[in-house]
Amino acid sequence: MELQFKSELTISESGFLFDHSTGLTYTLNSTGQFIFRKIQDKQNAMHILNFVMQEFDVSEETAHKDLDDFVRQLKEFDLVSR
Amino acid sequence: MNNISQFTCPPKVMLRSYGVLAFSAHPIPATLILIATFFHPIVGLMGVVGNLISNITAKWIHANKEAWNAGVFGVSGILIGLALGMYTEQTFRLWIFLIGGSIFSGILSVMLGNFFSRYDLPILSLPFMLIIWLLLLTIGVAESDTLSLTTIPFVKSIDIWLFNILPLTLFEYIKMFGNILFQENLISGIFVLVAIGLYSRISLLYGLWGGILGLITYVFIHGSLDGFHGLNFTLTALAFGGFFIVNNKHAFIFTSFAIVSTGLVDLATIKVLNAISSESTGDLPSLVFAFNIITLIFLFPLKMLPQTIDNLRLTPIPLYLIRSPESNIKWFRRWIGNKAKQKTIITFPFIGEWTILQGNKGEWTHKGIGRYAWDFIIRDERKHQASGFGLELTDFYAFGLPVLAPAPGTVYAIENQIEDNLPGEAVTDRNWGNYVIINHGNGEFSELSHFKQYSIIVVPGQYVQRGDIIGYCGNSGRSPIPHIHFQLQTIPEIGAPTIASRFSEGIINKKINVECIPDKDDSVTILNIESKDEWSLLGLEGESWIFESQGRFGKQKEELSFSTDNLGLPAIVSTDNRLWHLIDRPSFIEIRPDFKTYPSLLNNSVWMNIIGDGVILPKKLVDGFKWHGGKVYKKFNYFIIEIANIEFYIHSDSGLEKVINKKTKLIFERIKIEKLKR
Amino acid sequence: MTEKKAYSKPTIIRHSVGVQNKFGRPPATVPINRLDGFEVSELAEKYGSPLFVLSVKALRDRYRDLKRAFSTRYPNFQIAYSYKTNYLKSVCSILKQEGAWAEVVSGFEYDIARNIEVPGNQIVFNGPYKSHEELTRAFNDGAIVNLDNYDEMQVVEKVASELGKTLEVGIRINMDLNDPPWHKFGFNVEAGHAFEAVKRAEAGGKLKVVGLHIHTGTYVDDVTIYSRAAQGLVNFYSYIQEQLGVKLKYWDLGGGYASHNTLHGAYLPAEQTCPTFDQYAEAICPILMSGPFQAQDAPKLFIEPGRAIIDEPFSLITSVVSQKRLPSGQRGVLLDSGMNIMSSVQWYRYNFQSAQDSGTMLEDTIVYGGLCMNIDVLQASSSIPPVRRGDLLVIPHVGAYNISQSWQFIYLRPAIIAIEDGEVYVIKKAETRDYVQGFEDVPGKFITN
Repeated sequence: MELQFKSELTISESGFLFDHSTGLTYTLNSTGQFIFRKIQDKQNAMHILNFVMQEFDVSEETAHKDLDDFVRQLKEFDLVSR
Repeated sequence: MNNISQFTCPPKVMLRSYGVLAFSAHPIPATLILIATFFHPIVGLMGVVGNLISNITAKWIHANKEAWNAGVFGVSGILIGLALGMYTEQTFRLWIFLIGGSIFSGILSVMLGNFFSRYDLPILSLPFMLIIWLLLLTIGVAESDTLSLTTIPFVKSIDIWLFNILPLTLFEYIKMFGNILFQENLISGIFVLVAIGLYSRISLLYGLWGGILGLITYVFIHGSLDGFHGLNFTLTALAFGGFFIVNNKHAFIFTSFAIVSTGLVDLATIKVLNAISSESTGDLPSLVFAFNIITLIFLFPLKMLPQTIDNLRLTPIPLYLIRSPESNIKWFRRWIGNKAKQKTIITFPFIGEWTILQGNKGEWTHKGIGRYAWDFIIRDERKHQASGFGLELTDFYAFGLPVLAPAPGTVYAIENQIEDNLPGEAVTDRNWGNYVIINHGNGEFSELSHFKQYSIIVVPGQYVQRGDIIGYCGNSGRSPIPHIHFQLQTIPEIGAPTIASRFSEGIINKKINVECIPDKDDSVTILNIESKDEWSLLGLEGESWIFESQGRFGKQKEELSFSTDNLGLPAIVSTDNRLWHLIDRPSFIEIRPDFKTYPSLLNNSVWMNIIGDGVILPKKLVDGFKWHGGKVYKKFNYFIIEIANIEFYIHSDSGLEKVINKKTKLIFERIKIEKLKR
Repeated sequence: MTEKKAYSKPTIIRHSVGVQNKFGRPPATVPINRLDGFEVSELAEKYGSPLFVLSVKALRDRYRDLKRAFSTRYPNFQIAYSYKTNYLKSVCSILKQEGAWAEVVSGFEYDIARNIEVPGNQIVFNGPYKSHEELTRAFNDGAIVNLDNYDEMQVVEKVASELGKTLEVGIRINMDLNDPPWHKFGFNVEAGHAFEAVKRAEAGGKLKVVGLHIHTGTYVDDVTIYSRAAQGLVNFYSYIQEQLGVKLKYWDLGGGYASHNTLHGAYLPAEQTCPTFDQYAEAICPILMSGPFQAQDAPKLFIEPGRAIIDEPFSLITSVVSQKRLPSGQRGVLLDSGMNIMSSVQWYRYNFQSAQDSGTMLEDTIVYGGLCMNIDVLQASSSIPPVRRGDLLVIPHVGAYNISQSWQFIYLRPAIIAIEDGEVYVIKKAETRDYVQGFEDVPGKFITN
């Protein structure tokens, strides 16, 4: 499953995200930013999971669950589409 | 304010001005002086006019009220009148000069008075000196033989008669005292001596000594008795002879030096005056210049260095309150009364649990004469005195809390206007801030200070019971953080020396103490006693004491038991149900008549401290009580009350009854302890 | 191979624009990971979750502060702790140790007090329903009894006859102080009922009125209400002293003092609105001191604090069970505690503070209790950092009514520990099924083979 950002999004170093089309702003924490950048790089969900496990000290189970949750949230906010 | 009242002077103030001339504050000597001035009636009248106008002028320009009442501002006026009368010709325009001079005298007296009060120096008759020389220079001194003074014939004949019978030296010696009023007759000398000596032997003796020493000095310097004026000598002697300084042998030596110096200055003055006198002015008299100058010069260093000169003591009360050398000695003894033993029973002056910041002999401000003082603060569980950061006064737990009277008495003085300092700041000029002084009627006074601005709710003259709220804790005066300062002292002046004090029963660090002398950092609180528990704390609940008196007719017994009356107040009941009331608690037995029946006895209560070393009874009672002194001894388990010539009158409906007869020695012994059933 | 970075759950938070959160309170960002020196996670591990934790030092400090505030302003003062707020034996014992008397409103609570050896004459017995036996026992013990109504007065008169002596009683009065006024308890002053009651009590010849009791409300954070109550008491005392010769031994201002929990609908947080003990004391004591008596004979002043003393010292450790995203987009978190042990969520907006470093990103969350009931919502909207199942939260200031009013429903009730001087004490074990069903007996008839 590929993820794609729906609209023009700009993210800053500190995790501040700006959606040009809606004018809304968001804040992401460091893990969130990491995943976000991976999505920007057009990685798919499976790969992102591996990246996260490589980068962070976390178990697969936790990472998988959290990633699902995060993506769900991104969809809630209408930021990504399949 | 009625305009007219600004221009009046009550006769008693005028009379007091006369008394000042003889260093006396009493009306009889003042009257004698007044009469003496009228030996030359016109002169006397001029004195009165001068007096009146000076006093009124001083009042008009708002002279210090207490000093004015003491007659201080009329003195120079009198002297101007007397001097003008004695030294110049009687003309109409003389009276104009008199009036003008008196007005100036009044103004100058107040001016100098304000200026000198900064150094706590008296103005003496300095205004008179400055004004009279100007006047005499202007008017011109009359030749003594051309001066025709009407004298009361009576006086004149007695004078001549005495002149004939007394030795010359003695005649001149006594006449010298009349010089104070610028008079040259023996009678006024006698009047002055009587005026001085009537209320003070010390003054009289010093006056006489001044005369003698003056004579010796004068002869020594001048060579002969020619032209001797003893005026300055006697005045200097009176000033330093126990009046401005307390009399002791050092004062005697000091005074003698002053007298001799006066002589020198006087002679010098005369020489100077002779130089500037001329045909037109006449011979200017030196009058009391030397006395004024010498007194001020000798007094000034004493005022500036009062603490370091140990043996020479200044009179420790305000100038205008000085009465006589004898009373000065009395005040002085009370002043150094740190050997005085506490008579008043005191309880902690607050509600709830407080902490001692400084106790007797604390480190910071309690030193020297103020060392037997107490400072109280509040600390919470975390040992803080305030919540939060303590930036505001209201953060401090103690701020605004009630302060109580530590013992019954009459409020003597208060100060209620001073602002509270911010936390951490403290003013040092009005040290005590807002304060209350309470007179306990037994020679002891309580002083509580640093009250919150405007929070004092009692007024001078008001009677307070033990535990009545008198004001609220603040941060005024020399107080960086809100606290209560308390001390017991012997005279009612701010900053008076303290008496070593201990509190009666209370709780220190959660333990009950019958007598409390807590230390720094102890937490203390009043013993909170409910009426019916009152006796149980000292083991007396339901107990009875049997009093045995040994009279002429054998032993008599009286049984007193402790219980509560129908209002729940602790009471003492005697065997045949005559009720004695307890009004002033703590639970030391203090028996007072029920003050509802005898309101006039409020300040004269009959109360006996049975647990303690002294019987505290007032000297002058009303309604049949008489007291001639006595003692209470405590020995282990029993108390001996030795009373001579005492009559207790106790009425059955109010609980007072005659107990014993005169000349009976009572032994109160605790024979048995019984529990009563109610 | 570089070291792996520390992991935290990825979050994205949308910034809301427009209307501010109407409660305007700074969010609780500081984690509470220690309670009185012990790690929250260790406590939960050792003693279970949920877990009530009592800081004994906090309790003693609250009591002593309250005592200081009043006892330095009024010469004869006594705290009577309101048992109904939290009647754990340890709590009542600690307060008894500190010098508190007991304020009880039923025979059951009276028994609790006597059971921990509170002397009979240190109990204040209030309440609208006291039975004949309870009253007899109270008077025999020398307790202070405040009468609520005429029926009760009649019963007490009967007790007086039976005991053969005059009984000293207090009268519960109420005044029109708050909106709506509390008329359920006692006799109303404004309508003249209170005066009639005192008169009737004295006239009966068997009773002697020595006390007055008033209780203005609950969670009263307006000190002026207390001032008016105090003034009303002084006026009423003057009147009955003058008309009937009554001399009071005590007056009781009841409870109602606020704590640092914020009520629903309150505009400002309780930290800003809750008066200090000194403010309460300052509003009450000077007015009472102006009463018709000499300072040495001041009637004893009772106050009956409950939540003001016991709310703050207690905290609840609770675990996150699950979380979800609601259709509205709001996050939902479900805890292992519910309204069964946190019934006071009906009145308070509690803070839910993370016990671990979950980061500072707060998100608006609906907090669900663990009961299988839709109404079991602990907080409709709370700012909570990201948490996952197993994370611990700490809810502070839970001491009042949550334990004494807890329901034994669906879950067994949790353990309660107290910490003092670095020691943990289990003051109540977690319930077991045996304990809950201990009084049940199933007749054999109901058991089929």
